[in-house]
Amino acid sequence: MPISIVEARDLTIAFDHRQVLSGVNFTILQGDYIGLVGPNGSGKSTLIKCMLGLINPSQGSISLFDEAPSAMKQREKIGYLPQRMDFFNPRFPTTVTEVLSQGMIANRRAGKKSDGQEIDKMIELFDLKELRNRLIGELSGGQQQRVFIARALVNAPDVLILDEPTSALDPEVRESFFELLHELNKKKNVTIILVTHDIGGVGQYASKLMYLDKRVVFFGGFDEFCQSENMASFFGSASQHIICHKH
Amino acid sequence: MALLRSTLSVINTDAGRSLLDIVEFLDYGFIRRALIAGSLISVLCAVLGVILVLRRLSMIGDGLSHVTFGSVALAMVLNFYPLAISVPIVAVSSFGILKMIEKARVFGDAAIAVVSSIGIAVGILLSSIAGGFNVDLFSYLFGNILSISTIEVAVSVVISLSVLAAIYLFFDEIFSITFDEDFARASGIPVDRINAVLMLLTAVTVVLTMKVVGIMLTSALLVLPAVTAFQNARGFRNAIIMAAVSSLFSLVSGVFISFALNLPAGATIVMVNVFLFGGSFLFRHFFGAHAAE
Repeated sequence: MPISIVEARDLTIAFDHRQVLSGVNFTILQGDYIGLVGPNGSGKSTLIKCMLGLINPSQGSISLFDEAPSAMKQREKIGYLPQRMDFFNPRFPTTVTEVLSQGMIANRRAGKKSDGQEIDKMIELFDLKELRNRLIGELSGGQQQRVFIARALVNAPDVLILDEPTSALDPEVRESFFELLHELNKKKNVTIILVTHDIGGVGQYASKLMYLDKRVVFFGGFDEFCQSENMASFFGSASQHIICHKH
Repeated sequence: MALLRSTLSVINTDAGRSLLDIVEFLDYGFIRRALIAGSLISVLCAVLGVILVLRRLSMIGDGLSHVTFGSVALAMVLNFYPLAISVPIVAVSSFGILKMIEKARVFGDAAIAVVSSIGIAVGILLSSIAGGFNVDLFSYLFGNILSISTIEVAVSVVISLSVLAAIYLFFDEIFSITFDEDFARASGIPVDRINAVLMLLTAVTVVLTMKVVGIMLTSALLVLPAVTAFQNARGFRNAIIMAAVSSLFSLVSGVFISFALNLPAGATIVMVNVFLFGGSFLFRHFFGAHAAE
């Protein structure tokens, strides 16, 4: 029987009495690859912050590995990439290697020893060898994004939560990144939750799409999404056709 | 010391005589006390300053030093030892800043300004009630590292080493919070608890620093070494080391220059820091990584 990774029940999140998400119910199982999509302000980033315990629910409940996210101990199981513009101070004096070592902190806190090989592996995988001693602010947007993706992956997590990871990547790197995620999902059974605006792009890899617009409008497979009359009336059938045709 | 002096006395050159003068400076107990306490406090300020500046809390030293002014005035009115009153009051104020940022929809700089204004206002009111500013209060305003007592040295050594040890032990966590707070939370780091501890450490450091450079110049010792280091640092750890070295150099040379030229020590230390910042900026401009571009 598949293990539940994230489970939300009647989840409502509000800030200053303004509801950002309401009545959200879903279960994400181990090995799922979820494309979390929706328009700007639909609550995608808020939902993943709630999954991680960075925001508490106003009503209802959410669990991560069967624990309340804010109290969850086994943090080394999670890989997280925040939305880029949320956190990054380009003048921060830190090297690529220092940024990658941050990804190992949950492992270190859990008492797992590391000889630095994980970091070397990521440097190799993401072609960062020439950049490893450069300051993060000296890199281009795409190079920075590669570093942050590598940071999310360096501790070999069981679940990867990625908030718009491909926004600054060029098409070639984006394609190989999607292939890497696909491989992690298929070969290592890593659960992936990927926030994106590119429904058609994520559709070819994700096992399920979750369409949010302050509530869960749709949660199911991509083919189901393309055939859904509900989605056709939500988007207009022309838009639905464009999205699905792209796939 | 005697052996060193006799060795230097036979070197009959300008350099030998200068070294002899320095050794003779060290004969003075107040110079030795100033160097021991000042060195540790300056390193502590530099390390903490790097973290505060990167978290855009550069002015916290200024704000808390104004609270220190109010608390020293209170200690004088009540006839208490200033450190005993200042540490708890400044610590509570630092938590006040933290809570205002977290809960009251106030940006960091505005929260610091609010607490700073209260500190100054209370200080002025208490001084007025006590019959005006006296010499003691002025000595805290402008600092006098050369008047530091043996007990103050002991307190400074214990507190400085404890704070530096705490920062060393939680270095990875502090780095992670400073760079990316959300990622740090997602990694299971107790961000709120570490933020509270950092505020407490800042409060204690500000109170210690008032004796070195005075209330008026405390924030300079927190901010200048950090911004000096940022000009040429190639990493976070590297920035902390560069800031500590620059701060230590400013302190030691500032003490010697002030004694030799009969200048106020606090202001001299700060001006050495300013020159180092200028030098570091010029070095980056002409020889730094971007200069070659």
